[in-house]
Amino acid sequence: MSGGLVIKQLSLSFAHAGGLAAAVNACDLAVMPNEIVGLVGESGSGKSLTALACLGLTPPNCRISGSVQIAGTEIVGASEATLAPIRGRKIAMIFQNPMTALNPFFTIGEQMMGVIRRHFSVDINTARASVSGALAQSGLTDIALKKYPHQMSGGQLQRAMIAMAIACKPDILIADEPSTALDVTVQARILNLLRQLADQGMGILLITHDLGVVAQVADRVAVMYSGRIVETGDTDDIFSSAAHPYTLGLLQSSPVMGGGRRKMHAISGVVPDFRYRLSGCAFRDRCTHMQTICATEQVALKSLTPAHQVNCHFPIAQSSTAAKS
Amino acid sequence: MLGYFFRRLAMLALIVVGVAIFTFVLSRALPSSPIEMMLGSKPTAEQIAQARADLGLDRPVVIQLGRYIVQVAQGEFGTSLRTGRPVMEEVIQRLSATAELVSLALLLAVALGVPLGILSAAQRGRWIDGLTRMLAVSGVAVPVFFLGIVLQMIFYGWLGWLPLQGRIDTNLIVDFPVPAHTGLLLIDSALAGNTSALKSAFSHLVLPTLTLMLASLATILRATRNMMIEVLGSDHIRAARAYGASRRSLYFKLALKPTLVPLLTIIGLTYGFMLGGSVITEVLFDWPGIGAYIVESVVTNDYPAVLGVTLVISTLYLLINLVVDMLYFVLDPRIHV
Amino acid sequence: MSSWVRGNIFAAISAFGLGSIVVLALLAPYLGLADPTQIDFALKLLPPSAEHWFGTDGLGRDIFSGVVHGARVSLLVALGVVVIAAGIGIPIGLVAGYAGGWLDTIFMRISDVFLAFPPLLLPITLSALLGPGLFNALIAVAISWFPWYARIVRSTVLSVKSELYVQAARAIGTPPLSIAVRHVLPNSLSPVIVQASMDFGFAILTTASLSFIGMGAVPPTVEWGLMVASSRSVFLEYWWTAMFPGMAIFLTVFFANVLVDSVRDSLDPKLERKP
Repeated sequence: MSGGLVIKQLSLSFAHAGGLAAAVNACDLAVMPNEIVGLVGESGSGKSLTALACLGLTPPNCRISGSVQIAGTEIVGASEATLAPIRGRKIAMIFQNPMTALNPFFTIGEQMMGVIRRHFSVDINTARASVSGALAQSGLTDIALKKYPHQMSGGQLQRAMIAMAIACKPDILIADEPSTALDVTVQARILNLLRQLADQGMGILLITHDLGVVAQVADRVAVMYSGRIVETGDTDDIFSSAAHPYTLGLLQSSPVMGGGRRKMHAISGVVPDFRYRLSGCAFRDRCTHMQTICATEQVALKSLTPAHQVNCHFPIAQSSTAAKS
Repeated sequence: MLGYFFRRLAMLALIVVGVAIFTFVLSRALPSSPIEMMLGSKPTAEQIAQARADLGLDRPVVIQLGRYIVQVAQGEFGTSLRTGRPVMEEVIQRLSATAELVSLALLLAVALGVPLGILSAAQRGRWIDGLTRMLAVSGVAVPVFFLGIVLQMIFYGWLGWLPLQGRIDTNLIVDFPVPAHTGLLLIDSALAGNTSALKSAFSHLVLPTLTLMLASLATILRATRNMMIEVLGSDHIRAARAYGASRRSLYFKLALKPTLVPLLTIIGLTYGFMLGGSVITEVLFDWPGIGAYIVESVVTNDYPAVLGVTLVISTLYLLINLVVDMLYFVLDPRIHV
Repeated sequence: MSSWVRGNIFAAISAFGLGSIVVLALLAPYLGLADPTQIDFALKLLPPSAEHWFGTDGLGRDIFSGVVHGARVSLLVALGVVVIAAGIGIPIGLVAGYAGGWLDTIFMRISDVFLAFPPLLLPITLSALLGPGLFNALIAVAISWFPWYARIVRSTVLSVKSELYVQAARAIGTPPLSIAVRHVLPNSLSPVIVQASMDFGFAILTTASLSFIGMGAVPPTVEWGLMVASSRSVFLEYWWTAMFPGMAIFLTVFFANVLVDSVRDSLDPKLERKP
């Protein structure tokens, strides 16, 4: 319990003309040292907002309830003064778009030195040494120090972003689509780096819509749909015996390595707008197994095994999943 | 960058020539002849012919224009018809008074406008933000001359704290003349250690400076606020917060630089507004600068003076904008080559 | 939310304020007010009273009547400035943008020269050339400002010209004039209107300033800037002589600017809405 990120019953909602709309609903999630947890979902499912909530960076008009703890410190409702020393030091984040997430008016070196010196009272040389170390770890040389963001390529920027995130050796690292904009070889190297960091003790929350990425590096997976965690379990469990119809649909619609040539499936329909969320199960309109009860009652998470939980009235029987995959 | 600078400089020279041609053409069209102005009401025919020859008015217009441009290029604007002194000399003499007024007003507008803009952005939607918005909207809606009059009513007429007009107490300057080093009375009297002159110069500066400053303050304040809010909403600021940046370092470093660099353009524009506003302010406060000089020259059809001072002000304005653009070059890393 | 409401209340107050000024200006001759040009030394410098709401000036003229009649003049002149500036600028911008080549180059260089003058300097020089009088001041300001309008239209022309449907129209031989009228003009109209409405308040200020330094309205024209100017020798003892015409200018420009701002904000979806 000491290290790690523990999210309990986290709900995030926005006021709009018709009342309060939940973008994230009673989310439970934990990331422990040494592990990579994949948070998977389509865009609009609330995964990036969950990540921002972990840093206490939700937009000002967002209402928040529940609890997020980092190494035992509560984030929800904490003051800026409490949060500032935690951010970047205990928990850091790799942002989706490195092109806009780095300040165009300062060099990479200036920005990284700023992060180090904010959290450690060290002299310039020590700080510079840790900056160089972080850059080297993410595969950049000291040449990057003197460069402005516009002078670097997308891949280099993503590495710089990672270097900045790991410069203070945080306990928890959130990586929001860290490899989406990159080409495949760079992507593989960045995933390797994340694996290395986890092996050295960091806990990593990897946010992605790409199950292939999750299959490569994650230890555990949480699948998010329309603001709710619908299934969570060890990576092997999820890939071999998905129990939620949505997870199954995702698996069938993505080319998984070793899956061979098979017809790719698309889940019909789109994620419902969170402002007009339906009663009962949010996935029911797109679900092939829908029954009357799905429209009226929201189920709680059911445990299939101690590590594998699903949020569905009619989880798919293990045998049938196995047969399909 | 040097190449760009020289290209801009060449461009500027061309525009100045254009302005010279334009003002020359305008001056030829001024309603009354400068001859009458020089010779009084009933000149003889010979006197007129002599004067025309002296001024070169008997030559073809193109030749006159050519000669004029060559003269201007040498810094020679002819002599004022009103005072008989070289225009250049008069302009330079009066330029310092305007420079003192305008630079103080600009300095103050930036020094007040930028922090207030930051405060307003930080307190967005709160009462202080509403207050600065009112100030900003009112500041650009008050006519300069009316603002000056209201200030005169309050601080001279009612409270009696400050002088009505002028640049310094004239008795004082007769008794203890201040040697001119910079032309800026505030600095000169300080250099001379003349405390009473310094006090007098300062108290004479307060009202015209405030009058000239308000509209620029309003513009700079609002621009700072809006740009700061835009920058604060950008991804890199959220990222900086995610890495633990404090509010102070956001407002005074990480978001400030991206705000200030585009603000330079606004400050350059403001300078132009101030040069225009200084005409009204100087007339109202009887301030012996080039703004009042233009009006005096226009009213008396003193065309060499009008031309000279127009050229000088436009060139200054262009130069300031060039400097602003070059600063942009130095400060914005994205346009480094 | 609350700030949005507040902004709209502002806008509503401004609309009401400006509306009242416009109505007063339109009705000025029918309100049974004193003749604002009527000089009567027996009535000079009377303080505000039931008889003379805003008092009388140094020549015994009724200031309230002057302020109301002045509104007619100021609003009309400001309207004239933006209409004439746009009227000169739009065709020039169309030609420059459409013809391109040396015509465009000449226009750009000329507008560079115009823009080389700090604001107010060119109107002063031009009205000196044209001689005193409010109409001349109006023309001087309009001439000084037309390059802004021409530049707006020119840049719209350049962007519209590259649109496929315009290229197609040219390819099938549609005459340039009909392309300009049918495709280019409608596209440039809204930026021109935005510019004109933003310039409206500024035009009131500029013409009043010209009148104040003696390069605009001359008696017996009743104009706000001139009223303030004529109070200069007496305003320290008789505050109302300067205060009412000055406030009239301020409030008119203030209302106009607030109104234009909020209308533009609601028209432009790019501008951020405060939460």
